[in-house]
Amino acid sequence: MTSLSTTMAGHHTHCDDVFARAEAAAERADWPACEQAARQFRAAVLAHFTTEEEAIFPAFEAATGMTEGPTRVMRGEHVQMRELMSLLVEAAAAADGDGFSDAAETLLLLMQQHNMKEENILYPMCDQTVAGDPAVCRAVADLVEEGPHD
Amino acid sequence: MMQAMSFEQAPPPSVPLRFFLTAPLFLLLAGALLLVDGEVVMASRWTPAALALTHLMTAGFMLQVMLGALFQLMPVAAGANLWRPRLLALPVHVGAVLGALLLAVGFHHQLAWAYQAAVLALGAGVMVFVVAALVALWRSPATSPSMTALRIALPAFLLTVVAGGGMALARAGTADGQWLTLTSTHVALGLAGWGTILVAATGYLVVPMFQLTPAYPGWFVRRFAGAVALAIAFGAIVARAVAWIPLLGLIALFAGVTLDRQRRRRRAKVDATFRFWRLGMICVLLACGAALLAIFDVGGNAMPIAAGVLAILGGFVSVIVGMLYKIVPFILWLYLQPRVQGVPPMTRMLNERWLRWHEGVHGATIMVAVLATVWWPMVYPAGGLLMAGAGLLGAQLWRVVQRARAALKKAQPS
Repeated sequence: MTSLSTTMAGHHTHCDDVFARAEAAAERADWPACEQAARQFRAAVLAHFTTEEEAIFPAFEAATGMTEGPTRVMRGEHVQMRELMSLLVEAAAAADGDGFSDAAETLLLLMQQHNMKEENILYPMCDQTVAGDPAVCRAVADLVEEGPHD
Repeated sequence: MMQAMSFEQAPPPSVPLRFFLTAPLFLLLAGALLLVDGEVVMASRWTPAALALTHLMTAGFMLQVMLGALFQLMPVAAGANLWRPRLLALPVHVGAVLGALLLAVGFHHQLAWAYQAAVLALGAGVMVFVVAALVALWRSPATSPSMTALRIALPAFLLTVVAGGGMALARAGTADGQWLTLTSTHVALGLAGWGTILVAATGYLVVPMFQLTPAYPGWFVRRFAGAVALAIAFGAIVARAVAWIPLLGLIALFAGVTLDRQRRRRRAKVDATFRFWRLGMICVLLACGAALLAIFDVGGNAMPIAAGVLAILGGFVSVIVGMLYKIVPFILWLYLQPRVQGVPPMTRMLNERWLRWHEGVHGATIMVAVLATVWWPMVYPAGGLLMAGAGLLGAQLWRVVQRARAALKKAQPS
């Protein structure tokens, strides 16, 4: 059986791929393609956040009693990424190359270090504590099934 | 175990920044030394001036950035929280700065007291850091390849300093002359056991992260640090020049795998950090080739110096500079974002024109410094260019910090 870690990390990679597509389109100044990819990227990341914030994190917090620990930091970073993703989509829609690149650079680093923390620390802890929870399993499965169509 | 986990313990920005902002001063001094004593530096790697220069680059510039980076990296990448980082950073920083300066003075003027004071300052600073870092690593539940690599790199760092300290005291006349037979082992421990493994541990994290490349292959990350440790032990025990060839092979392999990762990047956009890393890895491959030739006595006195220039200036300095341009704005952005409305994007904190200049100046410095190993008068342009590069790096980092301070001040009117 695939672990929660593997599935969620795989979805990070999926989001990265869509991000790379948006950035490649911006480099070619193909703004319609860039906007489309940026919107797809945001939708994929938001779906990922929803799975974490509504299923995985609450289950983890209930199982461990840690409500002020890693999940709080992750939620905070989600807020920062939501803001940057809005700037990214706005810049793509406005064909604003500099604005896109500003948002993309910061967002990419923030997102990558966020993913690193989840993949190295939080997901392995979730594997040990909540991977058997039926609600968590369902939410993770739904995320991956929806992934390619977002 | 779980209670120990927290992601919030990234240190305040002042902790890594005090190291990062000091580092360019050592490059500046190294450039000045080339201008003053260049002919002697290029005569042999064993001249007092050459040893002083080498240690300004390694124990000075490189060590500053490595320490600052570990203060930042260990908690963020692995939940390995250093104990009271702000308090800890002070003795580590002061010890490392004073130690490196005194060491350069000791070498250059052959002063016993300077060697002794350098061993004391550097030894104390390093000891405090290594003990704190090993405790943090030991308590961290993370088992990523980067953490495994750090668990090997830190003891190698300690051994580098112990061997170096013994040699410095032998030069000062206060320790047995036998210590001086450890030179090759000291170089291998410092540049490979500590330096290369630390770059690898960082590379496993940041190379895929910055350019969306595939991860380093599992077979590589599982074995690389351990294999380097074995190759150093082999070279040290066999005690013949050819016994270092397996180590050179491993270092070249790391550079090759990194270049291959970069080639397979998914980002269409390349930036200065990417180019500095690529240049660094190409220089590492050339350095391994030059070191191999030096082992077979090809190229006389010039070849070991060329290998050193390519490894230290071409390899380490390139990678470090590339990282600083990415990490310093990001650390400050992360700090400002929750505190300030409308934080400037991290890309805008850097002066793009200075960055371009520095790329050109740095590439030229490496080329001219390699040329100087065969025709010494080139040390003058090499020294000038090194100082110019140090100035551009220092000014850029200072500018980023000033911008962050200004943004913070605007948000919190007193």
